[in-house]
Amino acid sequence: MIKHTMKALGVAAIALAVAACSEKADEPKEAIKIAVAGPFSGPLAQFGEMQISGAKKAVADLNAAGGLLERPVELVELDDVCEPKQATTVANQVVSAEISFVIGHLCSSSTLPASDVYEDAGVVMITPASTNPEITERGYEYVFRTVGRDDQQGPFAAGVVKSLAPTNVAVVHDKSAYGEGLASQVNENLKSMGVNVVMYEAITAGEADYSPLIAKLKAESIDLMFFGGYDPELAKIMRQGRDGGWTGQFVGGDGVSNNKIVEAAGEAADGLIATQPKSYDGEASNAALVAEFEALGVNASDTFVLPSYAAVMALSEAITAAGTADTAAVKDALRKQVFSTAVGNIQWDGKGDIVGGENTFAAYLWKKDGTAELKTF
Amino acid sequence: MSHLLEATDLKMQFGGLLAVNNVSLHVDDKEIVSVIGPNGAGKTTVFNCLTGFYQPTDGIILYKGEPIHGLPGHIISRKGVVRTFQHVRLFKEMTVIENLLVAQNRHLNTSLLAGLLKTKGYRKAESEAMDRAEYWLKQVDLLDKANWLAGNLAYGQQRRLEIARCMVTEPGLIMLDEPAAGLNPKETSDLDGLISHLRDEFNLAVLLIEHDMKLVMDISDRIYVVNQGAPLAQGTPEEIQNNPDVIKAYLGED
Amino acid sequence: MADQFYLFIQQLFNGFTLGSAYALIAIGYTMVYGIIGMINFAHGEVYMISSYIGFIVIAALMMMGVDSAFLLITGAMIVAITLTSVYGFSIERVAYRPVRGQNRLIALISAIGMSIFLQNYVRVGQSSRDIAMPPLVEGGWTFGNPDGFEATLTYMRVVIWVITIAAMIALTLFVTRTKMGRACRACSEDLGMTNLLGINTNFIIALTFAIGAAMAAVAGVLLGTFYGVINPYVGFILGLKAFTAAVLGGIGSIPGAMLGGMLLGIAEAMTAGYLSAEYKDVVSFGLLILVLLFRPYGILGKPEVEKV
Repeated sequence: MIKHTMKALGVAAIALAVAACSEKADEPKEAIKIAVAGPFSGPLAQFGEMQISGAKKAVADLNAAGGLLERPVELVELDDVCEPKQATTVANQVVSAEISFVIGHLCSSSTLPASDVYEDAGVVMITPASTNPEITERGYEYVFRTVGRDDQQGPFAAGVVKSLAPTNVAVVHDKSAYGEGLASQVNENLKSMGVNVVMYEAITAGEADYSPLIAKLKAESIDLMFFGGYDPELAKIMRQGRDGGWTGQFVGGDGVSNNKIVEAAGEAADGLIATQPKSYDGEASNAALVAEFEALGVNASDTFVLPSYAAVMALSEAITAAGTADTAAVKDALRKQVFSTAVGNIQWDGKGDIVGGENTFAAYLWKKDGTAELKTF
Repeated sequence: MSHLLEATDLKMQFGGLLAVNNVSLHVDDKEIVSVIGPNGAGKTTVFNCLTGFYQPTDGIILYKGEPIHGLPGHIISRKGVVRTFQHVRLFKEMTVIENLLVAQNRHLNTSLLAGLLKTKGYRKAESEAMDRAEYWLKQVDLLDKANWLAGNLAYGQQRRLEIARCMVTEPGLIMLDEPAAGLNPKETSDLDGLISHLRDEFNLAVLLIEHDMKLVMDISDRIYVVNQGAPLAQGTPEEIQNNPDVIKAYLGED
Repeated sequence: MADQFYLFIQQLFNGFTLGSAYALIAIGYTMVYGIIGMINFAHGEVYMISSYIGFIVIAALMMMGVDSAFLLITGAMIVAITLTSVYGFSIERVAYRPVRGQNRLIALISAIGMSIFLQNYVRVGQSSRDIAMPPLVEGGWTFGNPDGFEATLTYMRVVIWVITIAAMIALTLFVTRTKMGRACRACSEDLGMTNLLGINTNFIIALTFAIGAAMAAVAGVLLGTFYGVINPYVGFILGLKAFTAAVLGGIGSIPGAMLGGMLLGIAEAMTAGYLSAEYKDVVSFGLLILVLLFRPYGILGKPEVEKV
């Protein structure tokens, strides 16, 4: 009696399985969702712009070529306003919507808490912008980036400063994870290079008045100020600096390196030197891509456009290589090969950093007409 | 016969407490009418209803035949009804003369532009207001203190200033809430003279709440007695003095 | 030695400029508190809106070809003061009057809600990014030691001081010499009695909000032009500091607001200049606590008589 029932159950089970399989074959393929998380509103939305336009084009290109694993690719845009609390909320949303891939976040102060959630849930996260070293120092397996780290940008920036041969240097930061991180790197490297750092100070972002700071720069005979932080703040400082009669050199990191700073500071921004991930828009191999971006009204030389594009493309290659959208397999696939991307050849190491990341930074000289020139020092 | 002020069946309810229960009274031109009663009888509440300080729960109030119940305080005041409170409510941070000027604001041309440009009409009104203020300061014998801060006057002087401030609004009826409180016998007798003088010379009616029985009996044409929010008696001073209910309720309490 | 002196002078200049901003905005808080006993938490946003109006007017005038800085700033000032006063007036009507006489907590929440509404109303209309304007008035005087420390006094700073002082004088004259001003003073002493003397106190209250808004508008145009960058959130911190200044000087007292604003501005500039920008807020609020310990009603404040 029982044997019969078992047999019947077994047959039923197999029948169901077959039916399920054939149903799958008839259904339209479910899309592979990629979330893009960054500041799409708020004072740093210009960076989010870069991030999303790179990712959107990549997804469009993928779909034009037939999708991924024969499935369409869908982009989901999530705004974290560059606020850590919002970033955690976004991360939870990603997980509960069962999205397995994230291009983001942008600000290191967002990427850090969000990555905790992603690692826990096994969501693959590739950030096209966050440079704080700690992101990849926690033994996480699902976290990657397509830019270098601040402990690489720091020494590079310090080198730039040293080659300008200043007498007295001030290092100022905005207390953010990114800003303070970069500034402390620069500070330490400058000291070990023998550069005279006279001031190391913090400002509070959002304040209107920096004239006491400017007065201090003058009083201490500072001739070069390095700023770890974002462009809205540095724009105000530069403007008030020139107004207040300080004629020294301003140097900053990737957080200030975009043309919004010229819009905000006007003439005062002329001569700013900023380090950032190298811009690959000049590479011959990217010529066609850059033209396509231009046709869409996107400036491919903006810092995070190509790293974002590259992140999506590398991810898609890894998924194809792994043959599945299962994140455990994909994360391994991301480490198994060298990817030829719009930002050069990328090989990811065990931590999720680019091998040879110290060579991914460059310095640019900003001019009052809003253009930037690559400078070698 | 039409009265200057006529209140019929006034009621004031605060939640569960019926503070004023069917009080009716009237005041005629050039009359001095007093409202007396034990403490907490609801007399001040009646005043508050009559002046729009409170909105009465029920009842009809007519001033010069026009209904005024339910109107906002500043409108009632502009019609010619003005009052004082048990405690002096002068503007202590302003000077004596400024207290009298601000009470005349409604007489001045209200246009801000006229003020900024100092048009002729504005200046004329300002100078009239100043004249009126000076006149009344003379009447209450405070002219030499015109530029003092109101808060620096002696108590008796402050009381007189309050009355001057009332008069400067050219009222038809003034309502005084315990004007003799805190005054010594000489000051009270002066007050007596002042109130009578105002009534005689300025076509004024006076409604008075008072505890000082000498003043009440001396000055009033009629008296209303109120006890626990309800009317108890009304009549001339002689009638009231001889009313057994009133005597029982409270006369002798001073 | 001389260098130290010039540095001190420079920080003093910085302090006066910041102090002017705080003083102008603090006046709004103090006048409203004086008359209805409530804190207008939406006042910082009034400042922010006036900055935006200023920018828009200047941009429009520039497009029409107006070049002179004097005309641009004057034009912006006139429009901003007018429109912002209307905003101030309507804040009172929408957020305060309907809940007057009810629990104070309700008014507080209503005001905070208004503040959030205005921030986001501007954010949606204008985007939350910084908007910038090129400097209108450039140049200034320098003096001091070219080899050591040179202090700069930009013309724009002087413009700010002059206009601020003029505004304060105008306000003081208004309050002490005009009949409306008398009515405002009477209302802030005793609202009920003033009403019973025939003055429409609702109108005076609305006027008070409008005047406070006009003062904030002066600050908004001047500082917007001076710093050159605005976003929907600039009102928040500035409003908070200005409120602190009003309490410091004695809330309810107009001279107190002016004094408190100046003191706070100078204290902040000195701290940021001699210690570090990080301690600026610590010192400002520490000063507030210290003053309140010894003078609980603020420097020029008076104990409040319970308004019957």
